[in-house]
Amino acid sequence: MPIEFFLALRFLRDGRAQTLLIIVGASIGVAVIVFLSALISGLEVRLISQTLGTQAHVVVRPEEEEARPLRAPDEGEVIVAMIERPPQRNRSIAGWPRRLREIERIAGISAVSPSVSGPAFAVRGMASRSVILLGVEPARFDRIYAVQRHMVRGRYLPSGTEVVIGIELADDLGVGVGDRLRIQPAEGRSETFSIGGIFDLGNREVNRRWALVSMRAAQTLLDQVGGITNIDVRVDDVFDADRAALEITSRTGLPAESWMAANPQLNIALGSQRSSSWVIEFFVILAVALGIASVLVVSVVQRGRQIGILRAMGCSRARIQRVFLVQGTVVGLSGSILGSAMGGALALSFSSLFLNPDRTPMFAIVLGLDRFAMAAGVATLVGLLAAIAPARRASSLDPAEAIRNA
Amino acid sequence: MPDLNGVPVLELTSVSKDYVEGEVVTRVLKDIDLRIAAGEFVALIGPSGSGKSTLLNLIGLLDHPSTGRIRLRGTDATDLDDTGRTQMRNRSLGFVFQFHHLIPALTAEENVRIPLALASGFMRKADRPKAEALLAAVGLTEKTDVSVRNLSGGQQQRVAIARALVNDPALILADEPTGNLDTQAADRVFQLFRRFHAEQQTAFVIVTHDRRLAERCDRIVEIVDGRVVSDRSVSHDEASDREASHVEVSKSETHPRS
Repeated sequence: MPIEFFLALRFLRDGRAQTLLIIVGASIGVAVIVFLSALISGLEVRLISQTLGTQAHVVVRPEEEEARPLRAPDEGEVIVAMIERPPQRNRSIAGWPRRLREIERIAGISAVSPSVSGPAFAVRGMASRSVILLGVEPARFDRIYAVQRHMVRGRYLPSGTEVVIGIELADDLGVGVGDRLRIQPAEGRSETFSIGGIFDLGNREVNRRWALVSMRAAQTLLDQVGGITNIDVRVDDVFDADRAALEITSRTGLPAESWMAANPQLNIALGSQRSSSWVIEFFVILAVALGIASVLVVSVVQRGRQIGILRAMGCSRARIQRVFLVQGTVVGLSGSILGSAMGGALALSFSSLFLNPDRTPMFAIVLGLDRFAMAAGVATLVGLLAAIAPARRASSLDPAEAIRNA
Repeated sequence: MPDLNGVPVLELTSVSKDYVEGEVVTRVLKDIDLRIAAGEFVALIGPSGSGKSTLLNLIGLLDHPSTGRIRLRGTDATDLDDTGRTQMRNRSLGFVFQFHHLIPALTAEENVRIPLALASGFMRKADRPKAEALLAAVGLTEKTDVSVRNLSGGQQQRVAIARALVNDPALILADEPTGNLDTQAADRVFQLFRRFHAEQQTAFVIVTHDRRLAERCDRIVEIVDGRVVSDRSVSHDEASDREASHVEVSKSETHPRS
């Protein structure tokens, strides 16, 4: 065993109470970090999945219609024009199959779903409700919204004459699977569908408003034959959505909006939640570092004489430094192993202790290996860094003086 | 041990040491010339404050002289950097202090092995037999794996002696090695010194203010006020070795100074 490790371990073993105390201190710090980050990311995941469960990560829309002056000014001429923003008609995305393929090729994008949508009424006898008529390619659409998994009655996959609606809309209109429902867009013709299935996507608004039909049926009804009005995009990493949106716009020229842009308040909430947890973690780490450093400084003072004799026997300054750096690292490492276990146990017991009335955990917990690895790495590094000052102090001891001041 | 061929183990030439405190410069050692040949057994005596500990620190390369040069086994150590001095201490010197200065966290055997580990960089099993042999030589076979905390003062000092010897130093520096021990333990420690001196031809410099102890050495260097005031050989026959107080030494038998 290298002499530095041997001496470091013996010094640590020798100072039992101190060593134990500081390892426990470091463990508590690591446990707090692991627990806190598990809780915060659990919360984050839940918030995001609740929001994004019924929302595409990125939504691509047709180019906006712009008003253009009718005439360009001649030389030396000034035209005063007031340009009004024209109302945006429900337009198709020009050349969408090519653009769809372009989007599919962008790295980090896991699913792409074209759809045609427009306002319509769902009419059943005397009752009618305003809905969003969505013409979709069922398989592609499902990869973004997972409708199939949330079917409560009937089946997903609207065929040519079937419509799939949300549970709230079915309740409002008093309809069930197999009943007939007339869909009447705001303009143009109307058509009667049979209800193929009823879904519950966990979002009241969606459950009340969405009416899913086949792409072709919607195109006909909305007067968009062959066209689509939206491309919904799912990305691998939800926080990558902003970049993906930018890239989509730059490649296709189409406006693309990420969920962050669509939900600025959620994004701010997530950001402040994360930064507050960082602040807490920072101070916990600082406290752990100061604890380790102070214990090591005391140890340097206590062992001044021994350091002096080690130096006299031919121990170099660098080696004395390393003895204390190893001590700090060992404390950090042990603390991180113990602390990870404590934090993990705490998080798990916390989530099984606090339950919703329906027995699901009140706090979602995300315990990734990466989190343990990070906490462990940080604690070990902190141990090493905290030992720098004591190690310098130890190595700068004058051996003659250290021995004399016995 | 390397063949030194008459090269002195230690050679001090015009060594002075000043301590500066603010504007006040105190000259603790004044123009010291001292040669110690291989295998000599020297007592360094003097009243407290005479500078003998300072001199020992200079010889032990724990401190720098203000002027003059220090040569250890023929190598000039005066201007060596910290690394060079550290290496030289490890290879050529052994230290025994009044308060034994063992590492309490280690066993007797581990303490003895430390200088070897410092030389190689590793705590090696292969070094253990040598440490054990030395502990046996100082009569501590049974205490080999005992924490030094559980040893008596005399036993601890014997561990320190074993440790000082483990790297086969050319010179052992002992600062009041028996000052903290009762008469019996002190005598045992001194006899060990003499034995290792006889067996291994290691040179010893022993700082003491115990005149009786000094008279049992082969040469006495006396320092007063930072100067060597006397340097003489002690002649004593085998019989009187045990009772050094009876040995009469003439003041005129001064050791030739270089």
